[in-house]
Amino acid sequence: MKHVGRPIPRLEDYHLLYGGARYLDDIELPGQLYAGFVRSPYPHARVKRVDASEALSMPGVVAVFTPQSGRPFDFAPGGKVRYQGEAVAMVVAADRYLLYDALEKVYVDYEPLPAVVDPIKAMEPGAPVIDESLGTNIAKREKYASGDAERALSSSDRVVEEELVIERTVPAPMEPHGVLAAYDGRTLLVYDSTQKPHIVRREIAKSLDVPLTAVRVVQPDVGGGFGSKIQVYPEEIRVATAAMALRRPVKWVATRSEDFKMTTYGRGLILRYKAGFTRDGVLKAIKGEVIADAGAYDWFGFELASTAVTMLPAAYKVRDLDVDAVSVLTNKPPLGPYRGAGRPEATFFIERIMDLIADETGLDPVEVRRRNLVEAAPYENPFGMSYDSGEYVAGLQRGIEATGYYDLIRNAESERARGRTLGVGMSFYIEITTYGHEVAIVRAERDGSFTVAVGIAPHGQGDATGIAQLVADELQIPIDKVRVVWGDTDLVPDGLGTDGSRSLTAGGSAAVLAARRLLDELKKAAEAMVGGPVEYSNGTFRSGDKAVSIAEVVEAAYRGKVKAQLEAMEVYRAKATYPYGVGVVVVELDPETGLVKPLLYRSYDDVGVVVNPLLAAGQIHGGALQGISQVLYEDVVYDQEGNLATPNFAFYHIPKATEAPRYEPHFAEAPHRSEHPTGTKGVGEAPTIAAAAAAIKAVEDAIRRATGKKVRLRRSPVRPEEIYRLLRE
Amino acid sequence: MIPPQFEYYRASSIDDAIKALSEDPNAKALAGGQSLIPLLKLRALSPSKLIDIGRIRELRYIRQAGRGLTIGALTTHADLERWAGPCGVLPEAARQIGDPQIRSMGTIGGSLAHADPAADWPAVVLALGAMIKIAGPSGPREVPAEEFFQGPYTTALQQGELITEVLVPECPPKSSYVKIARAYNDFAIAGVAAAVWAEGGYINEIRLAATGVGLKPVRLKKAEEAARGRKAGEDVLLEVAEAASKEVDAISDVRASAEYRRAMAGVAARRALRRALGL
Repeated sequence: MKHVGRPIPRLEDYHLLYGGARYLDDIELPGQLYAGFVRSPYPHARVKRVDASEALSMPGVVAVFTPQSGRPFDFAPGGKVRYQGEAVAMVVAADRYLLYDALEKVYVDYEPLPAVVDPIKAMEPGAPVIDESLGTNIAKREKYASGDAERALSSSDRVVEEELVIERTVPAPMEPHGVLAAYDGRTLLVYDSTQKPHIVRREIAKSLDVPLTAVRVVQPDVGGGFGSKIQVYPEEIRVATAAMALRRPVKWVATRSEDFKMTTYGRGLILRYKAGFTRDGVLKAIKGEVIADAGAYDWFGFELASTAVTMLPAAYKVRDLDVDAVSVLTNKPPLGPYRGAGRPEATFFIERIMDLIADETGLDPVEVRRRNLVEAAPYENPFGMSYDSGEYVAGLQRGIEATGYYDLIRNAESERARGRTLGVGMSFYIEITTYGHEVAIVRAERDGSFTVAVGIAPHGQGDATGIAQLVADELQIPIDKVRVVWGDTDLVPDGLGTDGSRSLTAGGSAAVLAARRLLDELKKAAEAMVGGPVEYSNGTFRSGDKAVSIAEVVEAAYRGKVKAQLEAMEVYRAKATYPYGVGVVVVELDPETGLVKPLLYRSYDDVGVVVNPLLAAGQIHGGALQGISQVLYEDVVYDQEGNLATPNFAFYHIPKATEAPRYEPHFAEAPHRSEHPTGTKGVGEAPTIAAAAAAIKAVEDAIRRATGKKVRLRRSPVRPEEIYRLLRE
Repeated sequence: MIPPQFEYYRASSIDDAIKALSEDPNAKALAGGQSLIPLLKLRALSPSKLIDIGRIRELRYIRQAGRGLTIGALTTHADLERWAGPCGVLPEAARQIGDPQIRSMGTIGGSLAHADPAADWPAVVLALGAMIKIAGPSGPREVPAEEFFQGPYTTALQQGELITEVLVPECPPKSSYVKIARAYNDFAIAGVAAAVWAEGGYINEIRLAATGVGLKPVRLKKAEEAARGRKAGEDVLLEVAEAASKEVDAISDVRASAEYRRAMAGVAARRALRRALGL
């Protein structure tokens, strides 16, 4: 019985849904201490003095680490704090309540400095400089050019110039950041709410200057990350260092408000550009720059800008491009990857440009895309990205049919006659997933069951179910004979964790190849046992009328009666692969208030082989809502002085079930496989990428239906107040 | 939750609670905790003592009294959500508060005493012309809802005093509460409660009150005037909306600008009146 392609409920469900899960803060170790951080109330300030004497004198306070503690604590590097909430000291205490009292008794003498939170202002001469060693807030600028954009612009029928803004978002997983470290005199054991246990291990070992073997990182159940738990934060290093120094377990768990202060934020990109196109709606050139609001440290800002630039041409034919990727320092927490990481922004930008061309030429938005799309892969985009497989023109057509896009438009028209204002938006996306190597070990257990250990680090996605399906099929055994384990650096020596929609493709392929190799080993052993060549099927090796089961071979090998490897490790190098598809969003606008409610998300995705349609649909649900929410609800606001005005869920709105639309995902019936053994391309980010671009168009469409005028939306999120103003202009 | 240290005292009766509150100027009464606990979590408040009044069972009731109602201060939002008697605005407003968990714990007395400028109940009790019954060290007293709210998080409650009851003298035959918010159950950008006495299509008497717009909930007296004595119709609704927009003293904050709030106060007033009248 084949497992791949079937909607098998998550094997993780019982554990997660019936109270079996153990999150970081559920883990308690004997003698455990609690760590907390003193955080700057100023967005930018010189730290003149930290006085911890009163805190240290409080009974139960074990240690206070300050800028004077030096590396690897590394508080206030360069003698400054660069964003509101940046840590300046760490208190370690025997009790959590006492800890929070003690945090208030660490006195920091700040000299406030002028702050800048707007990346455009940060680029202007005279702006406060955040990193004096650079002498400017432009952390990095790199040109991506192809063809001759200037000439193509001058030969275009029309040239439009504008700025598109995607404001920052808070990743806001259910579980905030946290880490628990304990040193037993031999090994530093670190429990970490992370997406990348092996990277945490490497970073800690490097910071503490100890071999990898001295550090074991365990990822307990993790309540989401959305990219915000990719970065190894200074807090993780500091807690590990404190545990080592104090020889006691030390735990830190961020409160929700603290998480808003220290987490990496998502999105935060601006495209300033000129685009030229023909009167037939063909895009000829884009010249401009993608600016990342990188925050106080350019951990990831430049990478996000450059990903957005290299994916900006999408699957469109345009080859005359001249776009800079720029990262700009601002007095905010660092920018980081957030579900899609550069691709939602690229898609948002290019799809806004396609919609603009439709507006300017009077052509149908679908027709504009059709005229611009490359027929099919393989195709190398102007920046050298090699799209592996797919039919883009045909895919657009199938997507439009599967989503019933034109029926939805007609429905919006007839509803308008009945007094309801609906808006419909579509987007075509192509994105890049999967990178780097991944490690899997498949081990035969004595009873003929198999343990699969992987270096990916899923945290709710259900990858263990997908991998169990793949391995069960590869070994031709029932899925209940396969157990998938992960999240412990003692299980597999390396791995890159879970991000970039790569887990099932990279981790699954590594597991499939390891299983294949192990089966070969067992086949050789079976041949030795029966004394001739064997055929394998469904758990049994046969040679003529002789047969031996896989369990018998394993048992014989464990007892030393036959020689066989009982474990196989695969290090799999995973190339990038490119899913694509169509997303359609329907919203309802209340013209009296400007409030918008999402009603429906329909999609058509060619994400390669769908190992488990149930898991894939789950990714579509959450991902689409995140994309829509970025456009409709999530608004990070700073005041003039650089203070965060949306510091918690009372002010920052993330959608609840009451805001969720109806979801109707469709997957390609004849998907284009990736080159990987799994044939998968990844689905974790595709819906977020497609939905944001479609959602803003849907809002625009609704405003047009209400006013009869062409309005153009250039900023995400779209605030109800702005819509209200547009409705009355 | 990691609040500053406080003492905890569970009051056995109203008198016991008043005594405990009077003894300590830094003590705070704890009812359902849906406003107080978040403030403790944020360490925005550091009371020396919490006087838990949540177990005083005699403060949890809704009773018809003549043509009106009496509502015990510890009646939860969920209790009011299930109320099927007169004053239909009560369940209508209750179901727009927070989520089921919040509604199961939060109380009407706690919400009124907290006096968040964007809370829902203050507009409702103003529109209902309610009296707030208070018990305290110098005996019981009654304050009209209109005098009760004095500013953001500031009320007529004195040291040692507790709300015991909300008294609605007469339930309006028609009433409604409409909230304009970014998403269902979010804090109000503007919320308006309407209480209407109409006969033969004529609006004989009306009370309108707004929340979320300014620093405290307010009666919309100009909007009421625009409707009083008029035959209910679209023209009246428009005039009410316009008057409401003009008369509110709106503030700008991270949720909305004053200009938008003013407009939304008008929309909420019109919708509340329309819904109350069943137009």
